[in-house]
Amino acid sequence: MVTRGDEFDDFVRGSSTRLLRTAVLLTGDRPAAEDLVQEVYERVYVRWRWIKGAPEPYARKALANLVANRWRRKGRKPEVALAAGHDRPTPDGSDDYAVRDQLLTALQELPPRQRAVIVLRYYEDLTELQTADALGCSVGTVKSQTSRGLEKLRLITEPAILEGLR
Amino acid sequence: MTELDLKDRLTASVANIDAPAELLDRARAGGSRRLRRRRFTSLATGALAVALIGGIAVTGQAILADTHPEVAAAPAAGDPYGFLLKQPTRGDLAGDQAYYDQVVAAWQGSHDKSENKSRGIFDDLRGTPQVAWAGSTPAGRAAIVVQQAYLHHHEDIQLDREGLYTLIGFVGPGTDGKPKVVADSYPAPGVGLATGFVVGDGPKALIVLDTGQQVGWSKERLYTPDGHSGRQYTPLKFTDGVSIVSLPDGVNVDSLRIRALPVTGPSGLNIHGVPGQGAESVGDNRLWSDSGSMLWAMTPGAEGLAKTAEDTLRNTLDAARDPAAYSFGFSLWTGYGKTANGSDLFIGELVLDRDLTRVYAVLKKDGKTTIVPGGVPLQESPLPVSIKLPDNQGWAVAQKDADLSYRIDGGNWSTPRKNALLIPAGRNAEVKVATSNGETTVQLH
Repeated sequence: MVTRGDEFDDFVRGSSTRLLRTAVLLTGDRPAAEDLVQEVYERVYVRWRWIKGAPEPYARKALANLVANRWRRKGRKPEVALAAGHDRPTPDGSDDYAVRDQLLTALQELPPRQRAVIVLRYYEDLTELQTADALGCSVGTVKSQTSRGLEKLRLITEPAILEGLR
Repeated sequence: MTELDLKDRLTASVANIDAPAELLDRARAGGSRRLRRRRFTSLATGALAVALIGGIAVTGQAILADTHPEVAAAPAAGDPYGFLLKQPTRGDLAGDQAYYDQVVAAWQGSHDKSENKSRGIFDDLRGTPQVAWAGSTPAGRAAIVVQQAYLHHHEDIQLDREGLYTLIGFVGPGTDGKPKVVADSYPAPGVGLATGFVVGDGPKALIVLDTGQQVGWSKERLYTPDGHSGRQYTPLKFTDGVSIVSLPDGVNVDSLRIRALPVTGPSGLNIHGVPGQGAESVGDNRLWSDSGSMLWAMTPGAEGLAKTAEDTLRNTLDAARDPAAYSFGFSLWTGYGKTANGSDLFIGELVLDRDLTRVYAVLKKDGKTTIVPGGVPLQESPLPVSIKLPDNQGWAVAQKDADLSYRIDGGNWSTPRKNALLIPAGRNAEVKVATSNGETTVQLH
């Protein structure tokens, strides 16, 4: 029988950084992202013995739902795009820095569902079908939300950033 | 830029972020707490009240000698129920040996059905069960039974350390008139202490154990006409170690709460079996929450409000909501428009904990903001949102994906507007709601 012993610990250790990075992209807020990821793992812990197959999809789905539903815990301030707590990378002089920052900011201006689709498709590398499953919507919705999301990103970022994307 | 480039940029933008080392510990601790809340034993599914049965009076000291044997080891620190072992049975049924026997039999017979059994809390019981309190309630006889157990690390159990702890059983009247254990618990660090339980069909009574602090109870969250929400706590009076509250007919057990007074910080106390007292409290019955943010213009000439509509509505409702709500879900849809007197109008919904979602209008003019509660919407109604605005400003209505038009006093129908609409004040105002399922006309009052 699967227990919540080493296997759960290994899962958290192996997936937490990636899940946290996804959460930061989805929320633009590092503290909020940490809270969400912790909540996801708590839910995974509770459901551990009933999760069939790899736990990553379950965790990702839980995270996407938590973000999309925009539940706020007690005392949580509303999300702010790239809030003060966000760990901004130290400028390293690379040409990419400004573009990176601009892209993150632009992401937070998308509606939650569009943002989630963009992050899951282009950061998590999920297929349209996997994205639809994670978000509990149809593939058609994923397609349309992707299209709208990219279009909106185009409008609010330098055209060069998304040039060539459809 | 290709899709790969976008992925690279997204990856680079969070490349410096690493999960904190303590995340695993926090996740395990939080998961354990959730498990405990989920599995907190609920053996009763609606006990019927039985007639009060008088007891046979014997002296409390005699019972004490019989039911408070020595235990083999000192209890572990953090044993909040341990004090009950050091005092005689209390309550107006103290000394009723026949009832004691039934309570103890019920306790001993309940372990196999307890959801705490899987945690192993009954695997190493010590001493004998003791009736800490036995008394009459509006639902019949009730009792609190305690027994020591050596708790070992076990799957799903949450302990600071292994050791001797005091288990507690809350006992109410069963359908056959005999005592029935409605809940059992063990002290778990970081979790609100279960000190309250309800008994009787309805239920009829709330019983709260005296743990030496001032405690209040609240029947339900109040929503005021000015759009605020919160709870009022009535201080409990403890007698013989408990406080017994006779609950009004029709009480919603899910809405009951107890908490330490004064009201500052977390409650720290729970009523057994009442959901919504902690992290598992969230529930989403919002009207329209299956998509992202939705902005709905309700009038012409309100385009300037679109950018700030969501924040204005949210911040206004946030400032007025119950600050003690554990979780809250803001509206994902926001209607905005201009009323006849030039007020900015915003509408949306807000749900607190497991309460039903409520709709609100917010009016803003000359720096003054007014909340107009629209009550609990009827989800299946052809027009779920219909809020009458003050000062003859008309009605704010909404139905997602519907074409909405109005007419006054039998006149011509207005040009349809999607999702939400402001209807000016007037006699015999009607709204036509056109959806893919057909048209419905709703009279406004």
